[in-house]
Amino acid sequence: MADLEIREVRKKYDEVTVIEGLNLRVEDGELVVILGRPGAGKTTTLKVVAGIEPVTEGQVFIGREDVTLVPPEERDVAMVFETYALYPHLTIFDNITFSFRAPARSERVGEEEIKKRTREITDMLEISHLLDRKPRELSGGQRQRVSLARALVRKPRLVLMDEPIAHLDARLRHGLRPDLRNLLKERGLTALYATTDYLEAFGMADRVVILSEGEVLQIGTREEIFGRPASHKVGELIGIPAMNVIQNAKPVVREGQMYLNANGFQLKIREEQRRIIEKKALSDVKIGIYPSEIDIIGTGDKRKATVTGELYVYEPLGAKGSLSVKIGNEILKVQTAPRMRKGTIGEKIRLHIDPKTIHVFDSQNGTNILES
Amino acid sequence: MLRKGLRISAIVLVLLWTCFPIYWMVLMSFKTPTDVTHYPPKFIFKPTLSNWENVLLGRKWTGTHYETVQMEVLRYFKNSLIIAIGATALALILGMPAAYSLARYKFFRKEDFAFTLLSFKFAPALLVVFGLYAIYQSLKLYDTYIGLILIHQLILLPFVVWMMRSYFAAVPIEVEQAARVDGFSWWGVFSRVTLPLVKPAIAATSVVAFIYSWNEFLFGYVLAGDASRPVTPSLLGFISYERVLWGQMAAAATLAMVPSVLLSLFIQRYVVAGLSFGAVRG
Repeated sequence: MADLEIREVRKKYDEVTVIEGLNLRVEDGELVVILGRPGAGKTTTLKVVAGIEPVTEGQVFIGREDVTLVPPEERDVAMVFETYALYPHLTIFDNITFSFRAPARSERVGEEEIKKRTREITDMLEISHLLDRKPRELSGGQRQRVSLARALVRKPRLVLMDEPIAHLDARLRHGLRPDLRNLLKERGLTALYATTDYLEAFGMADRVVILSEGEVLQIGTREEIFGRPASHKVGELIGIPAMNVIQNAKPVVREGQMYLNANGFQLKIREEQRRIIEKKALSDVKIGIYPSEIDIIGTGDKRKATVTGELYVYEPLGAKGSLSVKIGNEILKVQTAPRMRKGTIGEKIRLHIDPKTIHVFDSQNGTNILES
Repeated sequence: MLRKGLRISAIVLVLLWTCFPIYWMVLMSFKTPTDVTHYPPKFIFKPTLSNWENVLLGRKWTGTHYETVQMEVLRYFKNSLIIAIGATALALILGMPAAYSLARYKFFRKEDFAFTLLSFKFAPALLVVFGLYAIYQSLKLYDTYIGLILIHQLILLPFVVWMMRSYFAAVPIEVEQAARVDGFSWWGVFSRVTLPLVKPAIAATSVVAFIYSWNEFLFGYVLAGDASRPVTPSLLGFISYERVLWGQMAAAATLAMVPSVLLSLFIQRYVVAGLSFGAVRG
């Protein structure tokens, strides 16, 4: 149990830069989740912290100790690999307890204790009945749980998890999320966790790091990131359906109010946003609107429509629905109640958007104009 | 059905083509000198064990009693064993680290190195054998086990490196990385994870290397005298000015073939594909 600090880390493979100037602190006992698309640099970040991949530049500290040049076996970290990376020639029990056989491991644990801990963790992961088998006899989901057990049976200074539950079936994935978080918290483990699933990230994390193309876009709690996404790329990564991003919006002033004009849209914006647009003399911005912040105006609703469009397609998404509304050339996704009545394509839809929920991004670099 | 029939007849044809000389050789080892040279060739004849008695026991039936002759074939057989085992072991010891580095690490002109190693096999051995003869004479390596082991391992090395390289590359690198994170040093990972995983591959490679060395003829012929001569060139000893002892030569050749055949059967048990199945996803 220790804290982790990544300071100005860059990682290049030949000429390709995979991580660009990464700075991150994970406090002792904190669970930080890295959220990013495949190829964003999540796995590389974890491998750099584990010591498997050397850094090109920068430093890594675990428990205030500079471990940049320390080999992986002496860092006392545990890692769950996305590819499982089990030892094919060993039984599941030997796979899970392999680290206790390592001469370099400082943690001295008796055989009884090893069995007890293995029992605990395999019970939680529902793999206790598989201990005598070999990895090849297991299904993909079972193998992933073995690799999870192999990391969690230890008491390392730091746990690194690379999409540890991505390949489990939906029931287990949902069931395990809170269990996993509780387990990490109970043991006071410091953890760095990578995922592509925003629900998993925000459901588990103390803080979330949004990583895109090797760069950190934003670090913060759920509220901070949803409340003020640092860039339109952040908005596009979180939520299903993802944030609507409308390009080429032009600010215009009418009757003392600033509006943003984009093909077929006219949206009123807040005073603080207006001030910055005027200060920076921005003539072209992007508008970001979460699908959950758009209301459909039904019959008998007295609110005035912000925009009007026509129904394009409706997708049920389980606990909610997603309605695509065509406005000019733009498709706006709107989150709806789970079972919306069936509409007809081309049907007129009136939408209400609260100006308070609109995010404005600089077209040049994509950053939220309210940032800094 | 027709396809299957064609396939089976093709297989039978190939089997006949490859197995007939062996069958003929075994048959010949049970023939008397008259039967051997009989034309047209005889398939049905009265078998004799005298060739085998001569080769194995060094006794020759003269008609009235056994005459003890030189029991040389078994000594050459032993020479071959020493040389083949020595050369295989040396080639593995030298070749495995090279194969591992070629599979795992990037280094300057790596592919050139690998190709150069392989290119040693392109040149015909005859090109170098007489130069080697001179060198071996002056280094006192002529007609020694060490000398033959050294030259045989040179033939085996490219083969061992290329074969083991692909097996090492087939071990997922993340399995090794996981073991490092689990607290094992490089050597710990190599000995406790990588080596057990490539064990079947090592067995297969050493068997094939052993057979290569066992069947080698030219270097054993030129660089060895009587003391360390392997069994393959020794078969020529049955040919002399006065006569060719076809029957005994066939018996000795059959004997010389036994280790290769047994080992080939043995490696069949290692299905090398799917070596590390279950290690990683996919």
